[in-house]
Amino acid sequence: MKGNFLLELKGISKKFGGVTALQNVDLKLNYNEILAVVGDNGAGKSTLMKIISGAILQDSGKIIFEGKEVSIKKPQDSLSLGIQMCYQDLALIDCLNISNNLFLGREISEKILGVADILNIKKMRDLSIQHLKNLGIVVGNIYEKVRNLSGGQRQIIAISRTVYWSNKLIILDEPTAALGVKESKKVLDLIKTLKEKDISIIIISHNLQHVFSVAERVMVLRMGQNAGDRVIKEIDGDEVVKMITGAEFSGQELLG
Amino acid sequence: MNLKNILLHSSALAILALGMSLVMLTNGIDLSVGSLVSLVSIVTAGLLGSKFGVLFAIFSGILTASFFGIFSGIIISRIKLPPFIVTLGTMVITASLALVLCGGETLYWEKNWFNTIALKYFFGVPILFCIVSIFFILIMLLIHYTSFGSYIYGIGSNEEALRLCGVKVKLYKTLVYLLSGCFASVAGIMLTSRIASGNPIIGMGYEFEAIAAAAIGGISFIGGKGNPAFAFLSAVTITMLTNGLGLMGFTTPWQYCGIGAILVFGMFLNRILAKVSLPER
Ligand SMILES: Nc1ncnc2c1ncn2[C@@H]1O[C@H](COP(=O)(O)OP(=O)(O)OP(=O)(O)O)[C@@H](O)[C@H]1O
Ligand SMILES: [Mg+2]
Repeated sequence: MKGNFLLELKGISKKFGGVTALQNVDLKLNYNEILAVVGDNGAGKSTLMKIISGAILQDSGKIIFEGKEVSIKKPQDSLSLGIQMCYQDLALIDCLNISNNLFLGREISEKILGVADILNIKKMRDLSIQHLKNLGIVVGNIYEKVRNLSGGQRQIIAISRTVYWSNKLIILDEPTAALGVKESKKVLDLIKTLKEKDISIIIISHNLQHVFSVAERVMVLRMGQNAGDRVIKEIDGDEVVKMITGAEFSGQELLG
Repeated sequence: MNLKNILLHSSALAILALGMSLVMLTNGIDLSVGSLVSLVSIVTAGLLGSKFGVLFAIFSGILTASFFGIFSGIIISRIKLPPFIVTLGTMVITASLALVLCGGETLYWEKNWFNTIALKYFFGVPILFCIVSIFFILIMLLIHYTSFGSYIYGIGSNEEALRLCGVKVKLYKTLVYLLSGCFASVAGIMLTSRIASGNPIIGMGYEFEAIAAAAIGGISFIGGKGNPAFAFLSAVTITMLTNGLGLMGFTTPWQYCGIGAILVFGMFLNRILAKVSLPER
């Protein structure tokens, strides 16, 4: 194990034009830990995660991965560090099929005649089917275009892709947003299995029930700033709601 | 008008349509292909008259168009200007360059084997069309069996998603315009051989015909949808139509009128056929 933390963010700030999305945000993630990041809409959760994954570049602040300061300027950088993210908007390609999407950017191909890299479509199909089966996911046809799937099915495919390439850190941005009760449970169980494989997970969710059922620690963002960081066992939902809203309301009032 | 003739005459448009459909699949457009054909015609014809040999002339033609393809591609992918504007610029630059290089005159050279390329047949099929068919097969392989093929559709459908998966989107986008330029050079060389001279306006209107062929062939203007095979077929159909009109005594302006009409009608037909669901990839 290198360094005390798998991932450390120090003083991350990001502005979009006049909008301050993040201001001086810190984050610490232990090795083999499930961290939940919560906060209201527009609190800056997705922006912070996108900075880790290299989808966007921070204005200032440091990223330390496995004890070493790293510069993540583009998605390739984070991928090669072993960071996989499932984006809130899923980042699937509608006109390609499920198998193509699972292997997007990491297609399996073989050299034919020493020059052309020809896709091994059958191998990718077999691996896709096997992987989805392992995760207990049923899809009718692996060659179905992603466009024709339901919202929840698309989300499951995006999550499966992230999990398939999982390495050291997985970031899931609202993975259960479009899922029914049964599928949500599947995903939460999946997260627990990943932890057993020595992978650290950051999960963003508005569903505090989900947060409490998987996460070991919760970090709260409010209007682009740190608003609390607590171990799940030492806190209840009411307190989290207070941190999220800035104690304007108590959890009881909100939950009725 | 026999089949041999139709295949011979459709060769240039067919290959341009292939290039154009790749570009359009990435949600782009290449307006420069017509004037690139002219420029290549001038460059190749000019060098055929020199002492460097036929292969050098052909190679220089290909290199010239490829250069302008990369030029458009880099500006479109890196500076992120709209393809329409960038290739419009390239179109004007290359069209002017063609006129400047030849001084506005048709170029001739001493007859050599280059002239016979367009005259030879292989089992009754024009050599030119054989060359085009090879390109067609390569493009089909590219589209269906390489990751580049998936990326072409991906760029047109959701470029950002592709980038997030670590794909070098800018590189592949540039490559598509390079291919389009390259194909334009092949078309230019074919036409130059057929008319046995270098003509600075030989490519005029070809960008329109290529876009029409791609559109009628079901390549979507917003990218990510369509199969270049159909663009290829509609290029042959368009040639049949214009030649047919020519035989009936209609002049070139009328022939363009015909293409315009078939473009609109073809798009309408596409709408209907889309309900029967054509294979997209
Ligand atoms: N690409 C962008 N351009 C401009 N502003 C942006 C962009 N991305 C995010 N923002 C702004 O940054 C702020 C934080 O957005 P972010 O998406 O990180 O919120 P979030 O916490 O993920 O919210 P949600 O729970 O709704 O997903 C918002 O005010 C948003 O408008
Ligand atoms: Mg978000």
